Amino acid sequence: MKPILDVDNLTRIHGPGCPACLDVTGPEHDTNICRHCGSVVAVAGASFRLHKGEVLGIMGESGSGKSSLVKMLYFDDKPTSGQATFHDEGHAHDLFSLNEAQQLRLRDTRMGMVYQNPSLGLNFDISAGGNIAERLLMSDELSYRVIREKATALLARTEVPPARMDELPRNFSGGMQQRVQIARALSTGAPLLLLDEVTTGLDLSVQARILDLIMELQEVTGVSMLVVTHDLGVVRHLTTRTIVMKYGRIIESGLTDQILEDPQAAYTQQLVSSAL
Amino acid sequence: MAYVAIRGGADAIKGSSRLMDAMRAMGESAPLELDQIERQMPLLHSKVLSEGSLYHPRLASLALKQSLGDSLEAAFFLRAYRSTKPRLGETATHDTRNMRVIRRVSAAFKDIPGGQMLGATPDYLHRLFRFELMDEGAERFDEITRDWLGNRPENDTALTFPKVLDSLREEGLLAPLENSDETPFDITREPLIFPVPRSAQLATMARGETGGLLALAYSNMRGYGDVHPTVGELRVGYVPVMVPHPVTGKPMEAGEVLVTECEIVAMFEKSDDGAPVFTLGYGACFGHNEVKAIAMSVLDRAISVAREKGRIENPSEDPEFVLLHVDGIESMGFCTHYKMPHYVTFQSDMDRLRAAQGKTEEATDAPR
Amino acid sequence: MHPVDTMGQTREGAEYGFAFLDEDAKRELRRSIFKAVCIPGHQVPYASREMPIARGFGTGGMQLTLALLGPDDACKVIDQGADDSVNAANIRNFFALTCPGVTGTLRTEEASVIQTRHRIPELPLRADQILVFQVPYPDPLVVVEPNAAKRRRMHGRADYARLWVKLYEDMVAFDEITISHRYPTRINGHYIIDPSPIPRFDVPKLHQADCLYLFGAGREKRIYAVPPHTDAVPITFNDVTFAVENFRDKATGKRHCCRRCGADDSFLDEFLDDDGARVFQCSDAAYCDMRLERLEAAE
Repeated sequence: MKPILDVDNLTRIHGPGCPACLDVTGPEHDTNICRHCGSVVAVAGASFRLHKGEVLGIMGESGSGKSSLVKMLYFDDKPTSGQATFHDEGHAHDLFSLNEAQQLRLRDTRMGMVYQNPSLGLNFDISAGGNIAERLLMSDELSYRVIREKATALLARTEVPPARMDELPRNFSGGMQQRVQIARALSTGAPLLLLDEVTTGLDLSVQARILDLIMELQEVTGVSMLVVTHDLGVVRHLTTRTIVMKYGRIIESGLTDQILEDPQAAYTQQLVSSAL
Repeated sequence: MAYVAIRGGADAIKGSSRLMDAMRAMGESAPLELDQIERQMPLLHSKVLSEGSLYHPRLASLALKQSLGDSLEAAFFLRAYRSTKPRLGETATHDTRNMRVIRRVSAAFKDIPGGQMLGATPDYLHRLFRFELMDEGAERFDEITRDWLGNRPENDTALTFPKVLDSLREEGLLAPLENSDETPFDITREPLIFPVPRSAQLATMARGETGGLLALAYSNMRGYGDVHPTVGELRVGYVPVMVPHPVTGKPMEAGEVLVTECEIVAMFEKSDDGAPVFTLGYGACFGHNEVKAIAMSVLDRAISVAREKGRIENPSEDPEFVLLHVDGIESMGFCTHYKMPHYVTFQSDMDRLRAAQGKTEEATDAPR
Repeated sequence: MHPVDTMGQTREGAEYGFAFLDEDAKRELRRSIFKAVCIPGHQVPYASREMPIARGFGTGGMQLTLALLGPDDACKVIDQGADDSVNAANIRNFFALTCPGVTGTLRTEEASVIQTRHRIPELPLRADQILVFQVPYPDPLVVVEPNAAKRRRMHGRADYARLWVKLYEDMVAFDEITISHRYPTRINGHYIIDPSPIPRFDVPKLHQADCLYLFGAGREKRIYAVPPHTDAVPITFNDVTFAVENFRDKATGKRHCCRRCGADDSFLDEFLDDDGARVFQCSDAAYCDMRLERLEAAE
């Protein structure tokens, strides 16, 4: 299997930082706040590989650093240190050494993001179709007819009724907003999709439909995904491999089935048993 | 036959200008002397000085006279005049500790070093008409003057005072003053490109329009903001202007300017070393204009709060929102320009509306 | 020499120097003009001085014109296409007062510098002519992004997708692009400018012209340029044509003509005559007069 994303020793510290930060935080110290300088160690030395067509889960409680990790990969935040390489169309992009224009170009055309809060991923002041159109325009599609057709097809694929595509997403239900976000994320045929707690806060029945939709889309398009969640159900449903994070560190990783059936780390055991 | 209404504009302008002049001259009143404006309407005059941001008292009076008393227009005269003048030099930073104070109050302390000095203020006057002023003669002015001067204590000499806030600094309640040698941002020579330094923020507000500053500051005071100011010290007085001697370079006094200065103290925050301290907002302007100085100091604090927190929660904390909208000459000008002809753009608007209506009609007429 | 600051002013303007502004200010303006020409379409910030006319009345254009004018120039000022509208007359008076030696002219072909508000003259301009626009809003992105710092970055990256989204939303709602004037126009393949409130009719005149176009925004303190022989393309979709005002009579389907000179190729002012009838007339007064003269000469 070929890699699409290699994350190497990625670290994010909020605050001034000091030489002791990494030594006095982490699961063994039961904190991610440095007692010397007060900095918050959000992510420390995270390394992993995502393969083409793979769905990798990142699991942990809130504050574990899982969202911070994907935020950096989508350029919403800058790492304190570390690297990430995005393998795309024969190029190996060293993500954090690209200039801002190059980063945004990748983000707008070759990566997709679905946020927990739809207002982050969508512009609520333009129509659902307009939100899709924006991504298509960013990738230099300049035919109105083509944009319109593609937007219609994408929204149909994510089960947004065509009759509603010219309405503002602010008037949609939470589930429908997520479906528009997914359509937008998929619109440019990006090979990498980042999903951050996409079903959190939705009704159970709506959650199930969204997860089924993501599964179907993944099977059809073969897109690689990073799925950030605190929900074991999501991990079980979507992912083949999973990383478990606590206090900014990756404490366990492996096949999802294995982790759920036979967790090694005490923390993972707690997580799994609490869900049962 | 008239071509279009706008033809003949040149004649219309000439006529309008003559009528403006006639409005002043017609009737029974004697021509206003510049002195009268400066002496008897000093607060209006002050407003023009500060908003025009050119300290030229005599031209400020002329501006008020020529603009028929419109303070925005009058300030505009000074600004436009300034555009014709080269900048010959820069003074060093002026210390308002050297101010010859005519009024000074603190809302923070009852007793301040040197004492409070109420000076001339309408703050505690009842706004009741004194109808006898409707008809007063020169003798009455003489009488008032004699009365005031005659009752003054002999040794009433001009005084300078220490700053109230210095004592707070000594006690560590307020962060020490950073002595910045940075050349201040010159808003008359550089456009504001955000983010801008605090010196640009202060300079922009120092020539801002009183009402504009007040409205934005008031929004913060009322609840769209969180400054909660205490007036540490408000002082009004004459600051000596020190200009470097052209040959020796030594600072020499070239005159003095009337300045209002306000320092507000706001609730405390963590300082760099972790200990909480009070925070400061600063306001100052030419002339005697206390509302402007206070409003400015509140806005200075509000913008700084947002800068420190890294997020803007209220309009009055947004440097772009505040600084780009408080200038009276720019906002008044743009508001006025809407009276100019917009025939071409409106023609264009009609064309688009007709086209869009046409499409809608086609759609409704089309057979189903 | 700078004029002496005296109070014995007898005539309005008499004590001001040539072209009003002090020489340093003019030098700075010329430097900004060079920069604007070198980076076509880029908004160059400059320290806009206060003019003795109000912001919004063309102070940006005036500063450019004052920095350009020398005593040998011939200057024309138009507003809404006409030399005689109040604002144009007012600005021309100011130039006459402060720029001794400069010839004022009403003829487009005679002018070396033309200052305009809302129109480009119908007569194509030559390489030795400069058209100075008065600009109220220099930044086309302001409709999609209120924050100036963000807009600057968007321009740098040529990140204009959100402008096109506006066009998309227009097409969805009206099946038409409804931008009537100030039509966003891409210069030299990168920067998109606000070409000032000229009608769409005038936008094609910006493309590959012989003359220099300069834009001055006084209140917003920006200068930008469309140099000669530069691409200027109104933004649209590949399959949606950019349409200019057509002045077509809805009933007959024919284009209206100027009732004065009979022109059928000019931008027209539409108004009601004293009898309440709808009539059309050239908005460019100099063009209309020139045609009339030629018609009379031909007779």
